Amino acid sequence: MMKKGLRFIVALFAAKWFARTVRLFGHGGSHTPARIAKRIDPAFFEKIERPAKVVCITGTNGKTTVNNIVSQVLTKLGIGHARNLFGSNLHAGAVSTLIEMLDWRGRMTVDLAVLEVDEISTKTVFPYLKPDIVAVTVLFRDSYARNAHTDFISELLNDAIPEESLLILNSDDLISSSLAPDNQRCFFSVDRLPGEEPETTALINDLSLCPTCRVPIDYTFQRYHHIGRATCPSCGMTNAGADYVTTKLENEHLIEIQEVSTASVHGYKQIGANITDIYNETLAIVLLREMGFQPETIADAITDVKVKSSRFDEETFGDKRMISIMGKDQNPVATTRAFAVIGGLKDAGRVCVLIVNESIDLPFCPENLAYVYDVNVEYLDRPFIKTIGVASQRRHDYVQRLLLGHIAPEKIISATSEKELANMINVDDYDTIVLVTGTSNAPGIKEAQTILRTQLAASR
Amino acid sequence: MKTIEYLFPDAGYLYGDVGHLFLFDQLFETHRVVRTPLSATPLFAKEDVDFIYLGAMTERYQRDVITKLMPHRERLWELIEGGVHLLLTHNAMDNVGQTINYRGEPYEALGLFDFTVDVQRWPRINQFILGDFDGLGVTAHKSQFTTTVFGPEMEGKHFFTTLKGMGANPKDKREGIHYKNVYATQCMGPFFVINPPVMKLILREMGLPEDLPAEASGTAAYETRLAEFGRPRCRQLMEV
Repeated sequence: MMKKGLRFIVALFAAKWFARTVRLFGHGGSHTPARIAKRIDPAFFEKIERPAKVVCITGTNGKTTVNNIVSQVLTKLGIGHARNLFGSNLHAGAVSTLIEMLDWRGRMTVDLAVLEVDEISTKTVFPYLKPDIVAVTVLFRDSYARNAHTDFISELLNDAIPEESLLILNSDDLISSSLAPDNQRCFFSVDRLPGEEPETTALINDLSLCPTCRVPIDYTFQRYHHIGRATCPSCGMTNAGADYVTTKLENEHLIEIQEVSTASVHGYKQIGANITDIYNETLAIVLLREMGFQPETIADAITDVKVKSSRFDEETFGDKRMISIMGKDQNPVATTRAFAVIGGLKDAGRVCVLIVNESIDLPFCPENLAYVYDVNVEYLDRPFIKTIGVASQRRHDYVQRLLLGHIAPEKIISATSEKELANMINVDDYDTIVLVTGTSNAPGIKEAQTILRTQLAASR
Repeated sequence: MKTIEYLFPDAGYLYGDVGHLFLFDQLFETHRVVRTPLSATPLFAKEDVDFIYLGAMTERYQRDVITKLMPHRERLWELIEGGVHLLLTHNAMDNVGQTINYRGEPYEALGLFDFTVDVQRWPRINQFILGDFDGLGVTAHKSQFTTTVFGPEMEGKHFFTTLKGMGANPKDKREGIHYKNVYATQCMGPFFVINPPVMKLILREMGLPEDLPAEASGTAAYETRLAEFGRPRCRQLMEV
């Protein structure tokens, strides 16, 4: 252990004092304590006492959900742990989380940390924290500005993952399941579910060719994008055999996970309805199993788990519904998944879709909208979707994309702001209003939701 | 009837470059459009074509594409001199330079134009671009690992001059290639979708109608961007 020194103690005091002060005023301030500490002591992170066991969750989508499920189960079981629950997954967020768990003398007060870590931040977080377990949700194309492409992220993770870490990988994802091949690993998978149709039309497939032979991969079941079961006809590369397999859903409330080594099957409360929820829950359960918890203990604790509602939120107003679904700005896969859910809505009646994933434009730096060309807007080309609205200063770009995706012009409306867009809607014309939101809770989105809620309540 | 070739769409067409195909498919609906996979010999090697497009790809596929095209580089140059429209976007442009220095390991590119490309993992360069192409405004973004150095033979062969954002590198405002009917840019956009006046010029050069699908919204988006990018307060998040 590196000697801490006076500089460390001063840095710690300042960071903890700041964190406490902002909390008194009701703010989170998730990244700032780490930044303060680093400014005072540049080697602060290297000097932090590591909890006895460190578990990190990374991957393109689902980190926050998996982290929340695991943390809620641990809390229910009375196990103290460090956790960053609100998406503060960059380097500074992870450090701030650990600062919270240090006492005023710099001693770690918990034996366990469960941290979600953004893929890019793994290069600075992993070498110091040396996680015992690294769980990877999935790897997809993400923000072009930060993440480039999956080769880049895989290369970066391969450099960052310590050789002693146990990896938990998704065997349905041939990209992430190939990470750090020399590490000890276990795999999870979700079987093709009853009635589940393949989705072969996604614009994004980050693994259409075999990475070794460059010949087209044969997908025997393509769940979406490159997720599914596939084999290279030339070299035979295929999915790894899974150690944990989600085999079926019972009564729409229970998922069953088979543990291959013992041929045992265990049931758990189903937390979310769509396939990404099932992947996230499966990974959370597998992670807890690999941490040594018994299936019965997990099953009991998971009954009280609630996932963050901002990702899929449904409100009813008499016989009408308003659904908010997170599309994640700048992330084409997350937005495509949101559109796939909307395009697959059953019994939704006449649907109005409002795309209000607030652009991340700063007043002085315009947003790059190239990603919308990788999003399957065609999934919204359904007879029951009567209107598609877009709102932002980039509205003409969105309209151009929708039109190039063969969306009928008469279905498209646009406005300069979310509020203006919401005011253009007459809720009597629809049975379901769907808002596709971004990662930020921008005031415009809240205003739009309030306007629509008021209208919907009045129309009962 | 024109013959249109999309080179290696299975190699990715990253960063929204697949959007070019949405546009081209509709523009060339009544023409012969051929998609050449990475496993096949390019159509242009066997017969004359009128228009070739290649979009962004991963650095791994970039080497494959160069290897694939290397036996046909004389033929490609012959077509370029003959006036074929060759459109290259993002790092597809890098393939026609002299060398690509991939994180300290240089390898030979097609050698059709006089420039070299340096690829580094950090920093990733993210900029918005406002440029001037013979009096025509162009807008785009850059997200890339590369900087480019133009050699003396690139004099007068660049596509446009940047007014905001970097060109070939932070010290060179010259961006892309415009030589005969070659239009290449390291920008993303998708560039030829979001700059309708440039696409209309290319159609005019090809002797085709200039009408674009979704033209009204595309033009409105372009004009909004042009005005916005030109404002003094509109500046880069990261200066390189």
